[in-house]
Amino acid sequence: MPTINTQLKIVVANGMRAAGGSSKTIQALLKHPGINRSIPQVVSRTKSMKVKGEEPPSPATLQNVLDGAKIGLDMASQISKVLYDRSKHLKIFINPNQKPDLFEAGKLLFGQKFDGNITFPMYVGLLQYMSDLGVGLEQATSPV
Amino acid sequence: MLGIFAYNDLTDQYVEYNTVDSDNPIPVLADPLDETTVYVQLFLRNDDVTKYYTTTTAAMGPSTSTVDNPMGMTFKLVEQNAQPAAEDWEYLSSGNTISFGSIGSSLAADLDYFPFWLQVVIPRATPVNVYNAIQLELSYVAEGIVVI
Repeated sequence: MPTINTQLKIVVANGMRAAGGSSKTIQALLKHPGINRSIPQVVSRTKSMKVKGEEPPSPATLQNVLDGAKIGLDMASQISKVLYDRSKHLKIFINPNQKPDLFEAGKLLFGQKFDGNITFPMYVGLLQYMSDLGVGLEQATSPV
Repeated sequence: MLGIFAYNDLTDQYVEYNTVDSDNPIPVLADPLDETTVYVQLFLRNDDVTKYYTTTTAAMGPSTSTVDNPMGMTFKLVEQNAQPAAEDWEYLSSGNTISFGSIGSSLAADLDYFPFWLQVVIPRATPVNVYNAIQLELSYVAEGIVVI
């Protein structure tokens, strides 16, 4: 009897669980392969927003950012107004040498061409959500 | 040909998982600090108007035994549209097989999306790694549509 096999890719990585049950949000993101294609298209040529603190960001910060991106993407589908018109994007970097497990997770989220850079549109919902989570922001001084 | 799909709520589109290589696998994320249970809704669909399928089944392979799966992960399948309740999973064994019966008939192909659910449980303290050995395996008998 012929068979068709579809592979599972199970990534066990520190930091994939965060307060507030946000691992469900990550799974929700992963359920939607279309996101893999939509996010790389929004890379900005304008100034970006950077996450304060260490570089690369901690797993918890990345989790927050991904949660925020989910909210931002949801909001983007409902509203067209962008609150921060001078700095519309958030950019973070995952160093594959320092955070190999998160880098693998990033490849799952964004595809095999993922190089560690993630740029998100800075919509109202994303900003508010990150503010609620206490993630600090500052404006980048150089273009993305 | 039969394929496995996910539904993208944001774009209102079905997206097919790649069945040839690992560029687009079914993704599952887990944290070793706690037991992780992941529920994924998937869809089976035939996109060939000249074919119908009989004795179509789905199971996790090549094996979910403790020999091939020393980490103790469990994989269960349920064929239904709504997400199964917790008790619906309890009586199932890991590695169970679900049956879709016939997809279409000798008179016409059926191009609908047939929903089913996958539950993956990754035990606490599973070593940090990427695990690629488990596959969702569809078995079927393909038949040609009779042209009258």
